[in-house]
Amino acid sequence: MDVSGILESQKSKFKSIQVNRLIPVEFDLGLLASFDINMTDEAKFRSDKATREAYLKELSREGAQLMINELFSLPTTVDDDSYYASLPKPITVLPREKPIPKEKPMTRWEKFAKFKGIQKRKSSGKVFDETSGEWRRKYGFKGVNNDDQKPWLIEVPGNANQYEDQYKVRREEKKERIEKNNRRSQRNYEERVAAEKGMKPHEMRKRELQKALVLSKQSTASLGKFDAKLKGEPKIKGIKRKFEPLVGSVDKEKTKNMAILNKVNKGDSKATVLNVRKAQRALNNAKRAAKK
Amino acid sequence: MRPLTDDETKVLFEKLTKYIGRNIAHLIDRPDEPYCFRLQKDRVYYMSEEIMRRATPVGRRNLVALGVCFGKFTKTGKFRMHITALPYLSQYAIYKVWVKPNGEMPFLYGNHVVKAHIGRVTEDMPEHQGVVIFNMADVPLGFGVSARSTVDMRKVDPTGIAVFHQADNGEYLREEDTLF
Amino acid sequence: MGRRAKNKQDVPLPLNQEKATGKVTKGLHDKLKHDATRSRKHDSAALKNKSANSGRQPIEKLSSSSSSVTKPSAKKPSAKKRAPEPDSDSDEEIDDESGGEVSGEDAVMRDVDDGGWDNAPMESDSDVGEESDEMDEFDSEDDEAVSQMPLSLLESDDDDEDDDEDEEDDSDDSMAGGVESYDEFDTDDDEAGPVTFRDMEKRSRKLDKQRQQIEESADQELRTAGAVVAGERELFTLPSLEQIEAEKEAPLDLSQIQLRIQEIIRVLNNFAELRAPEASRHDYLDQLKRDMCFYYGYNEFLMDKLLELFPVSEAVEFFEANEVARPVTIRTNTLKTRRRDLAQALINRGVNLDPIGKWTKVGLTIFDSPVPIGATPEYMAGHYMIQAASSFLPVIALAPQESEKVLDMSAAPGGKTTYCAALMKNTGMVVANDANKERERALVANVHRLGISNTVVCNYDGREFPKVMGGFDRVLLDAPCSGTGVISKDASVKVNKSQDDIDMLTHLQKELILSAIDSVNADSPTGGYIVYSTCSVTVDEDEAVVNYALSKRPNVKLVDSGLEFGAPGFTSFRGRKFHASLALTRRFYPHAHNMDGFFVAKFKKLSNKIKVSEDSFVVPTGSGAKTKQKKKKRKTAD
Repeated sequence: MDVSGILESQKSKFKSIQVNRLIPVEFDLGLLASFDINMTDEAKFRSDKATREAYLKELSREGAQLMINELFSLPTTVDDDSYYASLPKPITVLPREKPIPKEKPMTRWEKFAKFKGIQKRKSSGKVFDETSGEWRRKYGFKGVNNDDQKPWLIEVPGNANQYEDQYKVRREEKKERIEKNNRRSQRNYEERVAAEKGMKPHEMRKRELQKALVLSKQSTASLGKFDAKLKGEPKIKGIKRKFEPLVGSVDKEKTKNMAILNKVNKGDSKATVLNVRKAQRALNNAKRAAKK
Repeated sequence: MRPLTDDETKVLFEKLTKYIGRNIAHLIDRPDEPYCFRLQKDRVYYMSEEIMRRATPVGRRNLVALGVCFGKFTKTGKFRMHITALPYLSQYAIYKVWVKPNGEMPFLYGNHVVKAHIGRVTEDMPEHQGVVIFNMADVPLGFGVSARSTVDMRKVDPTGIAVFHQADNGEYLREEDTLF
Repeated sequence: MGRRAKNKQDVPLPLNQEKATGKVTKGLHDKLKHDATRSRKHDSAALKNKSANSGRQPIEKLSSSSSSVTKPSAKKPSAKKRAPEPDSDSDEEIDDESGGEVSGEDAVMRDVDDGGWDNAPMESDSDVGEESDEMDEFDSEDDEAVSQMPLSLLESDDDDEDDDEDEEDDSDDSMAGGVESYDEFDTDDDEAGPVTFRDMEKRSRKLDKQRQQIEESADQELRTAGAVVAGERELFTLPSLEQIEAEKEAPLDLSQIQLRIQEIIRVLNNFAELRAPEASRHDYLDQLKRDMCFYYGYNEFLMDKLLELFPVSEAVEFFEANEVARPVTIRTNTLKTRRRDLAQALINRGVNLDPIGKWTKVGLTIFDSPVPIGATPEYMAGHYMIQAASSFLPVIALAPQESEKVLDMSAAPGGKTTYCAALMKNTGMVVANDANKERERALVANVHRLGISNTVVCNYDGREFPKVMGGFDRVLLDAPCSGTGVISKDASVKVNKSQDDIDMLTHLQKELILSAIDSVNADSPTGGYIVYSTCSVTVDEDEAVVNYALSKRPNVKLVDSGLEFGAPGFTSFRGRKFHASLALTRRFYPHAHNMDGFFVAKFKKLSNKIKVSEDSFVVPTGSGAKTKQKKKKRKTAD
């Protein structure tokens, strides 16, 4: 049986899958996008709405057709009774959603290192522990500098007090180091914040201190009313409310009030809704009067 | 003493509307003399422009009252009408209730108005609407909020509350210490 | 003291007492007047038939009737006969009194006493013959008060009742009278109960004589007993020092004190004839003052002040009026109703009322009411204001006009302010000021209740006033005062006022009146008036203050207050001369006008410039130079 006739007639019902483009259309199938850089028909755009709409529809259909053609050329896998085409990776670079983070100002060490030309060297975080015969972290969890790893014997340095507990000295030194580091990081943090606000660090500190003072002063039951004043204590300035002048323009005030009144009354639905019962009664009364 | 802010004016008008509806316009725009609302401490006073102007030299601490007090703003920013506003409310009231002579004193002692005491009511009074209460000689006694609409009032038994008490003339005696 | 204490501790009892006494004294008061007129009549009658009078008469009287009313008149002839001297003395005394001198009076008294003492033995000896008999009788009667003193002291300490004393005196001899009277006066002068070296001799001599006299008079006493009784009852005598002392310990019955007050007043009203010769007017007045202080419960200071103000009998009326509450009066609020409608409404509530008087068209007097008048629906609706009749007056005097600017300097509780506003028909502006913030609550309440919308209530000291606000058309100054006019309302005034209080108040009043004057705009086309009023009757707070204002502010003058009634103000008072125009001020008294004691003065301000130079102001009075000098002095003192 020759079905070509039927197919032809069927085919003629639909538009062709062939689309001609002067410049070949680019695809980014990973994003299911096609980019057509051909010229559009200026005249059709300028003409009446129906033509324009039809033209735009045609354009988008053709673009979509081209992309679908492309999709069908992709390798497919068959699973049960469905075909799956695996898309390639997107090639278009999309713009970033968040702004690029600002560069942090350099810490003191970084500045110093830069000044001295000290390079940061990547060093291994682990050291070989000879007693256990394995690699261990320099510090941190299961680090070699932890106290559980303390030596069973410490030699007293020659210039030290011989009755001093050298374990304690060790502990304290470590604590001090940690604190020192914290102080430095805090200092770095403060300097960074100040730099971000364009202030000098000591100015910033002063301001913070005053803020804290005001807060602590106000944090009593009487809001600091009965607290003794410190010398040179800054006067707390509240927010000054602003009011209309007591004696202003009469007309202005009147119009303002009227505007407010209108707004108030607009929300009042009862005033605007028709009172059906009343209307009915009025109507009835009118009718009765007419009869008489 | 200062003019009301827009928010305060709005709160005040919303309250007043419940009693005198659009007649507030008559208070703002008077044909005889310009009048105005002013806030002194937490009270709202209504006075003629001239009196306000002349009272400006009086210090804030020393000014006790001027013109007619309409009520006060509560700490939560609501407006509470005082009995002192009664002359204006009664003049412009939309809904009125007249009480019989036997109901006068109970109301003036601060009780709600029961149905049995009602002599006349304005037609078509909806429920929960501000009403001004008069005695049969048309002397305003106070104001309140209607508990029933005029239609529903017929169904209520005589001891049922018809108008919720809000303020009455007796407060001049009872509340003298707190009202002023 | 005792009465005061009673008054304070126990309210109902003194009230009753007061009521009772009030009634009694009123009755007595009438009697007194009647008495006086009658005694005058009797007097003339007695003069006609002098000769008909004899020593017999007292006995006759006793037998016929011994009502205290007729006695003094019967007495008089003998007194007249006796000598012209005491008469002249008494005249002198009166003069002295009015002159305010006391020392001269004392001298006179001693003279009389001496005479009495000298005469006494003589009289006692000669008790034969009608003439001498009569003399004797008279003496004994006159001395009775005096004589009864030491005796009662000697014999017993019971100083209770006049009757008892009378009886005692009856028993004691008439002859001893002279001596003892001397003695009594002596102690009086010394002002000392205890025995001193100075009077030791006198006392011993007295005792000797007494013993002697008692013996001598034993039988005579018996004979004359009846006659003496009759005489004694007639003549009132002052209590002695000792008695007074004793009274302080154990006060007399009120009714007895009342009787004594009355007697003293009767004597004072007809002093020449009814006096005891050795007692001066001063003594009587002293005793009267003491008794009235006790009876009415005033402190001495206030009593002095008030007695200065009125003649004695009028003072009693005043005190009596203060014991009775003034009728409740109300003022119609013409902004809300009319008096006729209000009266009708109140009558429907069973209130018994009447218009106050012709002088006001808004006042009503409430006689009685079955409902509390301050809690009727009409009251709550602001149809009326409970307001004393007297506080209408300053507003009537002020007569505020429509659309004026009026200041009420001490406004609370607002009766006058609201009246002003009502008269102005809620136009213009009324500034109601009061220094007391608590009292201003009532003021604001009343202003709102009466539906007044033109009022500004403020809380300043009145003295700040021209600075805060000025240029008023009219100013009403109802000055803070001692309240001596409203004792019936606040009886505490009777005891809690002193000279210091008055001084302080007058000082304040003077400052206030000046600032009131300065607050007024003299160029006001309709106004320029100041009304000064107080609810006090003392001259210090009234005329003196007005006079001060006139002298300090020559740009004001007194004008007619427009009040048709009321007594004119004093133009001179106890040697102080005031500006002649003070006659234009008005005083109101509780006993005369049936309203609280009140004072109203109305000024008109002539110009806004104050000329303070003293020379420019001359008091156009008769004794201009003198007053001017005084004023200058006072100014420099100021």
